[in-house]
Amino acid sequence: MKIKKISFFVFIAISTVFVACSSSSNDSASEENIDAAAAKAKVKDVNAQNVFYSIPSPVETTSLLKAVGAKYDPKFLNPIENVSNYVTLASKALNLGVYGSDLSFTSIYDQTQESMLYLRCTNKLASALGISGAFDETTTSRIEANMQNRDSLLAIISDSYWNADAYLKENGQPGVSSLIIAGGWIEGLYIATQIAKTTKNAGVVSRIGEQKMSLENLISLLETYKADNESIPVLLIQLNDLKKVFDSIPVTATETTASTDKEKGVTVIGNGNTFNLSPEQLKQISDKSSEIRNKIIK
Amino acid sequence: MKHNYSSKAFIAISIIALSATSVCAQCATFVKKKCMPKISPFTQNGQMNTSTLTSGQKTSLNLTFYAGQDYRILVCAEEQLGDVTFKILDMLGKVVFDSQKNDSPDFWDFKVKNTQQFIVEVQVQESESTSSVLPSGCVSIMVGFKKG
Repeated sequence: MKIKKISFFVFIAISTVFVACSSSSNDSASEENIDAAAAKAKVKDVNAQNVFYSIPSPVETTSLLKAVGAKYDPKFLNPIENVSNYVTLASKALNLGVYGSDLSFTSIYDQTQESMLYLRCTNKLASALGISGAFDETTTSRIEANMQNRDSLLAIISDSYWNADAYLKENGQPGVSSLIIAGGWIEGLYIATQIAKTTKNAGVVSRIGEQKMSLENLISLLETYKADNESIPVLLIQLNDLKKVFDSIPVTATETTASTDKEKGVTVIGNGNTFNLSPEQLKQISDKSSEIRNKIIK
Repeated sequence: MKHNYSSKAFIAISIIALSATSVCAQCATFVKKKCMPKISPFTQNGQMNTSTLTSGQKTSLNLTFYAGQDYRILVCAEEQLGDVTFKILDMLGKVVFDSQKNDSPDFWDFKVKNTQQFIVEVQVQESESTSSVLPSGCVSIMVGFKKG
């Protein structure tokens, strides 16, 4: 009997901690007559909902743009003067993502002066959101000390994103974190479409088509937290409109193949998906992403 | 007697609920100290994907991987969980990598010729212990990238 009671307490402990920490769990169990077997089954049910949706970071997105020959143009970035316009929780979070993306863009293109200005914008918004340990004075000092080392710079920015995400999740605000991620992704797509429009760079156009899968992940991520902030359902409507355009892109899917270079320890995955984006679809994506982005930064 | 049992349950739940936030924070600390160093020389992607799991449980991550980059998927778990394995599946459900069939490493390095969406499925193996107390701990799925 005593063992059964201990089992019960242990189960409650595990369930409580799990519900508090997981990304999307909303179940709980506290019936006194749950035995150990039922407890195990219950925990597994909760776990079935435990699915993460991850989006490429702005650092990765801008690295990809640079790799295909995209050129730096400051007119595509959110003006730093706008930073004082953001007063709601959602606008601060979304624009922290936007400015974080702009900071990644300026850093990748070695724009030292602009990087410091955009860092100040991220600093201001992170501080207004009460985020500790990300885009703060320590980050500024580390960035200043590594201005001439691009790889270190990008690692520091990625660390700041991770710290912000971790802080918000630890403090029960994963919805705010999802808005930061959304703002960063939308700004990255906006910059890419503006570059594609002005340069017709085929590599950039190809990268835009590939965002179809990341958009689906972003929508799933925001769906998870749509009850957390009233701006999330509004943003979801806009993103689902954008998804309709992406859904019209023909995708050729072939079975993946894998070959391993044993010496280097790297596997190369062949085949997979190819996206054939037409000029008309590119224009529609460009128009829609501009519309969403301009609502965010106004 | 029944009243005494309910009181104990209430106290236990209250204490645990209050400490839950602290357990979450411990997960982040665990990832920072034990997992972050293993992602190097790749740059981590800025998102914390961490769960507190028990024996026999699963978690998964959906993510797009871009052509032209090298990637590392790192699955990092607290020791008390025992064996933690992972599989990478493509969108057709084909297993691209299975850690159990490759000497159970905690990371996998790869590159894709075409941009791909993969699902990373992580499984904590069933505990062989006969104890009614299930081991519980943090599991983190980290993704790192670098120029290919």
